[in-house]
Amino acid sequence: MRRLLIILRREYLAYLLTPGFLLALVAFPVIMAASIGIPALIARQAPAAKVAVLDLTGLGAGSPGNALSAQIREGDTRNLPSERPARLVPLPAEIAGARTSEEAGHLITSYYGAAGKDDTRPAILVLAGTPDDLDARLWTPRARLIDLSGELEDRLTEWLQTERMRAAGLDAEGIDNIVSAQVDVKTYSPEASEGLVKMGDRIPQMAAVGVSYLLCMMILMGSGMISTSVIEEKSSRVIEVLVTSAHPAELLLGKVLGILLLFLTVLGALLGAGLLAAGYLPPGLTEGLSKAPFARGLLPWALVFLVSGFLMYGSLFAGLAAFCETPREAQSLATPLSMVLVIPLLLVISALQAPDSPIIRIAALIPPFTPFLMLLRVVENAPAWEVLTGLALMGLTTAAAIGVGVQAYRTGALSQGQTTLWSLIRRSLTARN
Amino acid sequence: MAEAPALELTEVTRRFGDRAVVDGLGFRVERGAVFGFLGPNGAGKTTTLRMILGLVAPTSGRLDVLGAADGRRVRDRIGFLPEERGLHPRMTPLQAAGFLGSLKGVPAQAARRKARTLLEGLGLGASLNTQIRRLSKGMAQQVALVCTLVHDPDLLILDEPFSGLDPMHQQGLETLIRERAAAGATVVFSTHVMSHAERLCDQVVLLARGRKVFDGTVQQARSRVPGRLILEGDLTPEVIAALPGVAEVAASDLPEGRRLEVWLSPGVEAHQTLSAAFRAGLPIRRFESREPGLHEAFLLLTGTRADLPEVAGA
Repeated sequence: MRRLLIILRREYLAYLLTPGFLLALVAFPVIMAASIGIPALIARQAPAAKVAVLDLTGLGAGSPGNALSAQIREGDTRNLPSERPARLVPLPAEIAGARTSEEAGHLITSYYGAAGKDDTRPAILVLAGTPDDLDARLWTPRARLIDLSGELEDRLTEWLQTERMRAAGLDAEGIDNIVSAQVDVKTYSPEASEGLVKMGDRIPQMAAVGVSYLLCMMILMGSGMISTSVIEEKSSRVIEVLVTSAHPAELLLGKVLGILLLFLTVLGALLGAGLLAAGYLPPGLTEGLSKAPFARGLLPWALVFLVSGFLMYGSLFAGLAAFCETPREAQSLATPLSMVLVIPLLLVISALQAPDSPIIRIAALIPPFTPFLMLLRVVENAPAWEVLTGLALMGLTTAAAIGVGVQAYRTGALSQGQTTLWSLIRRSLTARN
Repeated sequence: MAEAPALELTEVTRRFGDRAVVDGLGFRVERGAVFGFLGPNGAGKTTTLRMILGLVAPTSGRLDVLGAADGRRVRDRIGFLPEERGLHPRMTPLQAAGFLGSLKGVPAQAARRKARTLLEGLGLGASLNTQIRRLSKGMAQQVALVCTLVHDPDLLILDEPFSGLDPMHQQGLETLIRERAAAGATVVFSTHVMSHAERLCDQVVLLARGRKVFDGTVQQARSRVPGRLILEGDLTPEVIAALPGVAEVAASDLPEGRRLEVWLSPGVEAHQTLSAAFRAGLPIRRFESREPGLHEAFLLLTGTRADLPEVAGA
């Protein structure tokens, strides 16, 4: 135990005290903030979409083109608050003479073609047909989908519904009555803090999913760090001195736990920063967020699954790295194991919608998936036997992973020169315990 | 009652598949001795050292390391220096000593204090806080040695410790080994540089193809090699070959007379043959007795030199 703590401390400090790590620690929240802020900034800075409308329906003043143009002029076309509404522009003269959608298409193609690479020309919406069979085509200079199409579709659908209700004999008041009709179904649950289920009550489930993704990130990042550390020690022959000073299990666990502690330090720092930042949020939200980590034992359970999951995968990665001479070899050997991580990440999304489904319940008991799925089951009040069985199976798998890792570590670490992977595996099976 | 040995191997064999890398090896190293473990590359030296350290299990046979059947049980009393430096390149010498010392049960601060004294003694005082990757190979090797000493091991195992060192650093290392032995530690080192073994060892074991070919003192090893005489004068090989104790004669012509290189039979002293030659009144103008070195013994006993006569009982 003493030696394990010494190894743990060394691994921890070896990364913690590097300038790169400290920079990464500061950079992480900045990158997170930037990943949220930059798309909004880009949307705000983007020029407003220009739209011209060509209405060939022949419906006069009540045509969909007129109705839509009026809405565009009022700025009623944007998907997100940060987006700029579309701007209505006059129909280009080159297209004004078109009589059918097909003819309009030819003219628009020539119109865009004459502009060359200049894609600042407006999008053109061509409307034709009858209210029973409306044909709407949105032309753009570049072959890409634009957000505006969804908005235009919604507005035209509203127009069509209104026209049909009018044709069915409804007056304007009746139409407004129908259009404004809406039922808000409120969800209540005894588990909700105030009976009514609010966003805050769903935080534990979302946090459980977040922890799964966090664990996946930790495993992927940690596996690289563990592999590098093992291979460095192997190539510099430090490993020969270490295995004469400590048991391989102490070396392996010390390494894995040292890097785990490093991640927990980062998480602690980010959690602290998050709590400080929460002080600037609206009071209700602050209360909800500060209570969420402790709701349904989320925080201690999250720690249990983060630690045990990282330990299980970290031991396997350390064992694999011990067979390798270069980081590239380690990476290729670790790739199949990394791909296993995709499965629980796919399941966890389904589990958010149906956490009690038999597939999720069974998958949560399969050790490689348990640390990702069981937390979600815990916040959904899974029976105690399920949680305990999952933990016990994971404990057994972790012990086996450590055993295999130690054996691989001992055999692989002491190998010299050109050795095949299979010969190392064979030797690891016959090495002394 | 005799003191228990620091190290004793009895009929130790280690096989990898069908191949016996070490075959029926046995020897005993007394406490406080400097023991040389000699053999050509691939002789099984490193595997034997690993069995002593408990890293590799013997296929059969018995080991006794500081009174334990498994070196891992007494790992805190053993210091091991691998052939390559075996230190974290980004650590400084003091950090490495603190880390490795603490693994051996010495408080890190005490280990660093001791390492500072030893390193200053070796003239590395200016490099105490320099990253090991920035040190020369010789300096790093000395740092590695110091790191194996900070816990005052009872048994010091050095794998090819002189490899890659310049003469000055070799001298420093020899001094350090002598000091440790004088302080009561048992030193076991493997090498194929015979001059070090010749100067340092109380006992040597020669290994060839996994088998022991010699176990004894340096002097005993030398005595296994036939003595050699150089004779010059008007001599014929036939007359010299007829002298007592002569095993082989090789002749070359000189401007005046001949130069004869005479190999003596094992156990025959040069003066016995010379006395017989003078008694016979042979016209010897010049003679020279060549004392065999450990190098010749090594070549002969490990079977790596064919031009020396076979030695009975090797």
